Amino acid sequence: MRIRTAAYIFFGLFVAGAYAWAVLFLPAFGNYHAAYGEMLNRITLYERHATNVVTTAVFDYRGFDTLNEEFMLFIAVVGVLVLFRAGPADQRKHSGPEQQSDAVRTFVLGLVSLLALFSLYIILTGQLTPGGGFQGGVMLATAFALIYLSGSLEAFLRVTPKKGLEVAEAIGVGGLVLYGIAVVAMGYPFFQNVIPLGTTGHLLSAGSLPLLNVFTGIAVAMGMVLLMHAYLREVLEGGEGDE
Amino acid sequence: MSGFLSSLPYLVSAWIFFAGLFGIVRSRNLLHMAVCVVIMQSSTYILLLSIGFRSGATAPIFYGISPTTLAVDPVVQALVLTDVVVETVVLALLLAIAVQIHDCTGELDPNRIAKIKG
Repeated sequence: MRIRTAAYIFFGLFVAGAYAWAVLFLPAFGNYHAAYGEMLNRITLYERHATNVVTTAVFDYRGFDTLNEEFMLFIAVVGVLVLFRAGPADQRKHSGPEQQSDAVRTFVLGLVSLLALFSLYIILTGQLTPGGGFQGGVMLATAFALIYLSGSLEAFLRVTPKKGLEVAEAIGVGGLVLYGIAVVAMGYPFFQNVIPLGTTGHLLSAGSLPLLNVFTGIAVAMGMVLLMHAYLREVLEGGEGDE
Repeated sequence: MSGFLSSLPYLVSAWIFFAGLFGIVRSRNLLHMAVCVVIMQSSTYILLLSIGFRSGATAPIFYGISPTTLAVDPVVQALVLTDVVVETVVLALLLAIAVQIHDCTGELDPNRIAKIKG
């Protein structure tokens, strides 16, 4: 422990020095003028008919990076599933949440529908106002988590069949790739925004952005639910297929 | 004083980074270590967002405001979005590894796991 702390202080001083040196060459706080971001702020409205520049940068101008990010999420989910499948089954049985009262269950049922609706709104209006596939997808996953918290593991497993989750996850991630390949097949660069742009401020505007947001939303939500699935099965049921 | 205030975001970011790193170095529990990794990574949000900040600027969302309004840099915000997603899945993967280590060795203390392996 003492050696580790000494090493931490020794190397930490180097890192701190390098960091301070790097910060010295940054523009002063509040004075950032990067040509790329400035250009995106000016042209997005006219070139893509989208009002949310961040989402446009993520799914359009830097769409290829987002595809990699999507794969990273996918690989991590696969990694968790494989880890839980490979290891020895946990022999101790843990009990799930207690059966909640009727009042809690009724309240959560209403909350789940509201959450699902709101997350769809967040996914679909990503090109207009703050939101997008990643944010809405995580919110959609919390709706499924609420089902588990209010009821039982059985109820959660009933509404999220593993096969269905895996198919939906594949549609989400594969849809992004297929869009990119379809665009290439039409003779444009990978991930080019070829869908008609529509009117600025409308729900179906900005071309490919709503479509890509929906695919991303599906992929993120199903990935998160698959993670919950893997953890709950491992901890509560003692591993995959152990029943 | 203004010089100190303008470098405050960078100092806060460095402080969070080193606090998280210290937690990792002195950790006696793998779950604690995973949380420290998350803390360490959250310093990058503050660093990225404070680099992209412009005084008096609004969010880069031109819904209902003039297209010529001064807005902060959208590229670093997109990077932070990537950062958050990556952090979530890295945490999931780390916790899965911790659960498996506990199943295999019955231990969560990284120091003792190294001894068992030998």
